[in-house]
Amino acid sequence: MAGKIIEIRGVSKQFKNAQAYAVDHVSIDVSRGDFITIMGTSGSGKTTLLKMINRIHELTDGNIFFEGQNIHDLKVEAYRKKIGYVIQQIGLFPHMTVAENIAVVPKSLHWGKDRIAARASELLSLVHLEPAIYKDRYPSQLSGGQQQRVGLARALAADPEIMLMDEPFGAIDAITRQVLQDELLAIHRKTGKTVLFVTHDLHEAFRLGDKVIIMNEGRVQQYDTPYNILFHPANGYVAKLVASEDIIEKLKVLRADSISTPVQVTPDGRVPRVLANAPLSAVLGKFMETGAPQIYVEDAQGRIEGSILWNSLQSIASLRTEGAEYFV
Amino acid sequence: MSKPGLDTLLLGTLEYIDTHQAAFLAAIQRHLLLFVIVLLISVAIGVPLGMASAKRPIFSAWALNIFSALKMIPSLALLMVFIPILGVGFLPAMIALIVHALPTILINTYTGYSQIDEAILENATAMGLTEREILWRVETPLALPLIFSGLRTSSVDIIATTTVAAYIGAGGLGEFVIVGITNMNSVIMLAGSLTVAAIALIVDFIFSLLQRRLIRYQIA
Ligand SMILES: Nc1ncnc2c1ncn2[C@@H]1O[C@H](COP(=O)(O)OP(=O)(O)OP(=O)(O)O)[C@@H](O)[C@H]1O
Ligand SMILES: [Mg+2]
Repeated sequence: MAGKIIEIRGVSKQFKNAQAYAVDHVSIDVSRGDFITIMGTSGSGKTTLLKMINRIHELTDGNIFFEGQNIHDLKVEAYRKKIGYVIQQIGLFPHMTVAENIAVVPKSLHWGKDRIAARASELLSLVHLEPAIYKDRYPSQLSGGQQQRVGLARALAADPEIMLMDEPFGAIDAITRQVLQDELLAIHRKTGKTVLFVTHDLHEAFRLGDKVIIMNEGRVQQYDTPYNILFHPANGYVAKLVASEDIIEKLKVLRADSISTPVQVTPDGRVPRVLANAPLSAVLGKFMETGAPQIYVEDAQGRIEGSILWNSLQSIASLRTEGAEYFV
Repeated sequence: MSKPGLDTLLLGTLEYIDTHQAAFLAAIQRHLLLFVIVLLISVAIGVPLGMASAKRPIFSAWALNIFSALKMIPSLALLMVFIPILGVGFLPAMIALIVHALPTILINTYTGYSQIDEAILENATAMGLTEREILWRVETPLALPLIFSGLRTSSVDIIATTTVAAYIGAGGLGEFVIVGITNMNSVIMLAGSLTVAAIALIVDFIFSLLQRRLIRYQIA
């Protein structure tokens, strides 16, 4: 079912003894199945916004609706069980094995033993950890990257409606981080889960998000596709934020599927292909390498999702970022 | 009289114990009884109080201060303080020993519950666990290693201090030590103190076994 899963209406948060608002009149709609990244510098209110969604923080003002219901009226524990939560510090339970960690919410929901065990194995495979090897380990016996995979599996355990992720890969090295990003995208495609993902890394925000929320000083500066944020920044703040990115940088952070169009004809076997989440810079490389006029965009299973024409890629290069007027 | 050698001393001690078996068994029983009662009552008071202190900051301020101060008082001094208040006998000795044992158990329990990583608790809450589930499935298992080591330390402590408590009429193995000291008889004194040491070691060993069984994980 499509439609809105989360509606944030005029939400503000002012902490006790704080002068400024941590989150300042934010209104955002999230559609089911969206992958939304929230990007902003430190202290811009990203974590606070996320924690108001799962009711760790009370709202000072405004309302949040989940599937049309005001979250304030929902039974808090039952509501939270529909939300997967993954944070940078991971926070696995050190006294429980990997399988026991994953089982916490299912157990609390009174699932049967066999169902829980099957679910744990299924999820470990999904996050690329061999169940037989890892299920009986304790968190202290895993690397940081492996722990974060378990954190992700645990958050997915009871098949939540929505995933809230707060800089989950923030403490992980660049190479592993990219692997995890790709896996997360694959999981998103496979499960269709709604994801709200906080990061202060612009590249990560663009790479992962179908839509990006740019925050500053508690306010939403722009909520749009990576393409629009790069080429049609809504205000001076966003324009400055993306200004440093030259055309090659922009091609690096945009995904192939951000400009591809559905294929009209029967796919031609001779046309070169790239993965949907490959950066446009790789697409450019492919064009230069093959000299082809057209490239197909395929998913991890090799199904063709769309195509990119050389002309459409070229037209990006000739696009000038709007908002140059902000710099006069 | 020349000083006897160590070997004669030890043999004499064993012989003394052998010839006074009935009195010894009674003293051991009394000693253990006092230990078990004191430990149980200290746990019954110290663990819930420590837990409450960790959860209620207002509460912890005074509870912890009082008990930290109590912990500083030497055991003998503490016992003597109780004589004018409660007189002598089993009950005053028991109360004095509880006051002596309680701080370690309470403070360890408090520390056990307070040292839990914020991120772990935040996750537990965000996962939709109830406060009760969090208490029993997350906090208590994580606090257990420290609570347990508090029990272990204070158990050995109670057993040792019970010996001194014989001065205020606690009974138990301390009586042999007192008799030995007053009569300058090393054999009787050793018979009492070595037995106390043996009990302390055995109890400590039992706790170490329990600890290994109960706590399977290691915090990295
Ligand atoms: N529990 C709290 N009590 C008081 N002030 C808080 C609390 N949590 C956050 N704040 C304040 O609210 C503002 C927004 O903080 P928030 O944690 O949401 O930022 P963030 O965007 O997540 O930053 P970062 O990228 O560093 O994680 C900051 O000024 C912060 O100091
Ligand atoms: Mg944050």
